[in-house]
Amino acid sequence: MKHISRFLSLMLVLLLLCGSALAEIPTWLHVDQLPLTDEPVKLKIACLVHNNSTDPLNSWTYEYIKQVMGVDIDLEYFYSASRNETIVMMMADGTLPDMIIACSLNANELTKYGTVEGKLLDLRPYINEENAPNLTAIYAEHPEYLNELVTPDGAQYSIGYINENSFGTTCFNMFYNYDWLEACGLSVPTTLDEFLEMLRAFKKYGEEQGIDGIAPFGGNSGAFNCTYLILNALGYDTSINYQWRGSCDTNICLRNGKIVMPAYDREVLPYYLNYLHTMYEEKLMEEDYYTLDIDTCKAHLAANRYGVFNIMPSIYTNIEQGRSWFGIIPMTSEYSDKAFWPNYSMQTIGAFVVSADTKYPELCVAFADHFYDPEYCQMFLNGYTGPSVNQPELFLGKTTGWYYDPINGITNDDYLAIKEKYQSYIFWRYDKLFLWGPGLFGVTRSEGPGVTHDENGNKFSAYEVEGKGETIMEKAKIRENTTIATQQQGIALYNCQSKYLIDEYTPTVCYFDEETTERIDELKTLVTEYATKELAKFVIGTRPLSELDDYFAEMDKLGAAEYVQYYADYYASMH
Amino acid sequence: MSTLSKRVRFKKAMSRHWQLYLLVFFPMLTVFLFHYIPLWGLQIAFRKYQSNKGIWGSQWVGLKYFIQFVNYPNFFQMMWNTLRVSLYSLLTFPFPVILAILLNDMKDNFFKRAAQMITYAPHFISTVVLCSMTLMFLNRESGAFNTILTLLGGKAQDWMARPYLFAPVYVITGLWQNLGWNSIIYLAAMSSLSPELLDAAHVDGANRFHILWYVYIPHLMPTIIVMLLLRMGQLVSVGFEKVFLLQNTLNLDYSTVISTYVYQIGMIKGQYSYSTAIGLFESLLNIILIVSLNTISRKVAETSLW
Amino acid sequence: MAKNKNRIRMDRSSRIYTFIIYALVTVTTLVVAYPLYFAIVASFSDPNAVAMGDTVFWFKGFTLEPYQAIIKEPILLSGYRNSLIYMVFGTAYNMMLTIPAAYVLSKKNLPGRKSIMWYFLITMYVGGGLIPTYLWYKQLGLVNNPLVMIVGQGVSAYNMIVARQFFMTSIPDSLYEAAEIDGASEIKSFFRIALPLAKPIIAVITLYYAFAKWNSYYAALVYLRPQKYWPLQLALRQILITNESAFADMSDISNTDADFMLRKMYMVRAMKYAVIMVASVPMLVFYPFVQKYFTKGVMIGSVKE
Repeated sequence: MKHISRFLSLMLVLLLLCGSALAEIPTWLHVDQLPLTDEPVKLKIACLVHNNSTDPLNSWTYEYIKQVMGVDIDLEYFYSASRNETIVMMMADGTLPDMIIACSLNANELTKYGTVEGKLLDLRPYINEENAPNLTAIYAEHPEYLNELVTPDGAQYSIGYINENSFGTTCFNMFYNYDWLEACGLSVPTTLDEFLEMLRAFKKYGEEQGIDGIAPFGGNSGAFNCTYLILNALGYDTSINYQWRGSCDTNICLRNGKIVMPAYDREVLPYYLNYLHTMYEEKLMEEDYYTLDIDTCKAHLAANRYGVFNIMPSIYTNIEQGRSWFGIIPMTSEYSDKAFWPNYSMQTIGAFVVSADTKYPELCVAFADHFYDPEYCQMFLNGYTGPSVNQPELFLGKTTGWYYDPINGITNDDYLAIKEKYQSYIFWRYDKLFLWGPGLFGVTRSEGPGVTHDENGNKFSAYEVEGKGETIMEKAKIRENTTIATQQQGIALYNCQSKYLIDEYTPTVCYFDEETTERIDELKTLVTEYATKELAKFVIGTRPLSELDDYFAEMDKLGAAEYVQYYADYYASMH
Repeated sequence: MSTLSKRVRFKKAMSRHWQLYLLVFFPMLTVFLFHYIPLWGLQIAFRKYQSNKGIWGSQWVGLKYFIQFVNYPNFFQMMWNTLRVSLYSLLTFPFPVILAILLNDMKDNFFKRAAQMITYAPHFISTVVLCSMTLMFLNRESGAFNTILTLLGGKAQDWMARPYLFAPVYVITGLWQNLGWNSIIYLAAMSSLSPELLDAAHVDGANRFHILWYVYIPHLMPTIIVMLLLRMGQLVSVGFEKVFLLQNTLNLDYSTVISTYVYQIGMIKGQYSYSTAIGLFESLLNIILIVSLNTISRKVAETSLW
Repeated sequence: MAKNKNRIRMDRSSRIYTFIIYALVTVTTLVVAYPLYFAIVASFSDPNAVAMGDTVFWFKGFTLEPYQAIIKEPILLSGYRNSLIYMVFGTAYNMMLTIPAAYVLSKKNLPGRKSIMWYFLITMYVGGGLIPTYLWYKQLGLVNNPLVMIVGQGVSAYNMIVARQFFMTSIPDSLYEAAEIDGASEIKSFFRIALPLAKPIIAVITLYYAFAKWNSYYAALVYLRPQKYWPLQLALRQILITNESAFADMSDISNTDADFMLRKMYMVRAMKYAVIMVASVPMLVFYPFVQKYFTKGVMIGSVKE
């Protein structure tokens, strides 16, 4: 096997020398690391597969792992619908598979199964230059990834999935209706006062246009909550998962270097509530803000009632309508004089864990390592999806047949041959190529943010094409080049928010021991519920703002100070 | 002398009815196999379960989790909210009976069959869609309910913002969904009425109302009581999904129930012991309830579940 | 003469009575029917129009997309087939256990009856929980085995109690006594007397079990990993989840695909309604067959005395 592989590698070099673009084998192919093992080894792997994969055992990745990587796997797969139950059962079962992939175990689970119950292997001894060169290099360059993975007892129980690809989809994003800004003759607000003025102008504009039920500050409390804009302007920094759409009032945040919770912040909360209350009174937000259901909210967005929103609108409206929306700029206020936007960890922990009882710890880690690279690799799993590289032997024939099609984008002959069977190219990829969802394990990086292709198949970064001019609005006038929602979203973010990204952000990954976790959960349930209820009443006006002292007294009683203190201590211990 | 004859009598009775025991043997066996054997896992409620130690090896903590639950600051509020929803639900109990009686008195024509089909169909609407439709109907601005209300001269309101309306909304939507389905059992009971009894009543000159009052209702009574008892035996268990979907920021005071709390501390947080203890606590309350009510029922109506 | 008067009076009061009944039933049916109608209309309409209240009476933005999206899914057909199998065999299995048990427990003079009742009753209130049940089922070889959907829930104590109640109230003891005198054994009694008279309750309990089996998905979620064993409800649930989270897949795809995914996400709301229609059809078709067993007068002629 080793000899064949060496021979293949040689063939590789020769082919590449005859190839069009590159003169050397890209290092991220990790050809020199293959095969991973010389003896016949059978590893048991459990992995979460994408909903649209049909029998992953037929996927190209599986074949690649077996034939080229030389690892025979006994695969058990399951879907996201049963993820929680499956993890519980696997742990209870007593016989863990060698590796569990793509399940995104959270900090609680890692502490529980790793630190406390000892079912997961500590990977640190095996991540070294010899066994896992790629990971070692990545962690050397980005120590913050490693910090997130190491538990207080000094062990690393998982390897994380790293997505540096589409900056647009990882960063929390918000949007303004730029058509309205233009129509009102305003520039993008940079302070809270300007923000309020903008909302008022929007309302007037909407009424003039005859838009029924205009509510410039869009969304509803539970599903599309934009109050983070205001919290941000008041100085709160919290790492938010881009999928999170609810209120951030009860999140743990950093403010001026201190860990606080906005709903428990004696200094700023009165101003914040007053601000929201003013907005509510002037009908700048939905009258049913706290009870509106998601579907109606989406419909209101489509009916053009909103000027501010926190998800790419074209998801819920038609795509053309979404084109008027671009990114916000973080604001300042009398409580914060520096505009910033929270960065977000590019890593999702818990993507890859190894059982403590495995007989092949080095191999497992080397297996994982194969999918990472310190430089970049575009969707390694189906070979380089560009027209210029051909390694058919190494990639089991899958790197051929790719080309650029103006309609389909980068596509493949194999797909086109059976196109009718699939609703879209994505489903074909899941069905034929991926063993797990793309990037649910490994690293997803492209040659740069917002990479796209023009009609000749040439790559370019959409962010590079900026409009001329000084103001954000003029710069954002690259609408002509925007063709899909994600590009537009990324552009908006890149032009607007990315300039304000800061390095500091509240850690989302906190490892607490079991008793502390229980205590924190209990306090969190109590405190969050009470705060959510009462803040809504203050904003609507059912409870007068004069009663804020009573509110804080009650929060004290419920243990809010203790709750915040746990995180403050954790943060202090990390610095 | 008397004990001997008791045992002998018992043995005699058992041998007399051996065929009945045979008939019930296999059901009991399957229940034992699939239900009783896993019951040993119930002790998770009394242990601090850790997967590496297994159930037997996990530390015994006795009533720790029960005490923890009862000491939870919002415990009483949760209990009240749960009971409130259940008791309101009980108020809808008579409606399926009434519908069954009405339907029963109709000639078996197309209209009757169509009515049965239509009233039975909502049972298939999933909870998610039911709640989605409810919220849409009650929408202040575009909901059908408010539209009709304004037509009749009323004022459109945000009904879901009113916390005390949570239980009524929950219950009325439940009634809509289950009215036809729940009436089926009563229809079946009525259809088994002996025809001789009906003939005799006709001969005696009874009109339809008399027949209803003196023949059908007494015949239905045991069934009604048994259904009611079974319902009461679920009083403390209010399901999670529907409450969760109808919950919003403004009605939390009334819509936090035990099951939503269990969901919050549920599987991802890994607190199986705690959630099992709460489930056991609920069951205990339900058992106490059903035993006491059954005793009353046996004394008053001579109907008993066992 | 007096008799004629009585009859006239009875006719009039009878007519009023009939009128009231029909009126009440009509109103109830209309009130119940409206949301059903709304759901059907919503499954063919544009989701935003539905949420804005524009589809109160008729379609708006008529579209077949939700149905097309569901029907194109490969797991739909296998889901249907699996659910049918589970339902038919599972219900038969349940009935074969429940009805005899209900019959036996309806006999008041059976020694130990109370204890046996409690034996079944307890199962309604306590269960082992997810982990112990899973571990035990694994020992039995039921994990990843479609048999688990048929055999897993043997006797529902609730259904058994309801059936028992029927046996107790609708079949007079005199019938059994008469048969006993004639020399019939208890099992013979069961088959010759109890079962024929129990047609209404058999119909109802069959309906209860069939519905439960048809709708079940949690057991499959936990015990049946391969998609080929999935029942319909689980498959439909999966379709909805996939379409709702389509946005997560949107990095590095072509424009047409992105538009397609966005469209799917957009249509999910309408699909929720379409899903119910797709899932409910068999049960609605099944109902008339069962219904005739508990219509009034079904028992006429079946009682021999």
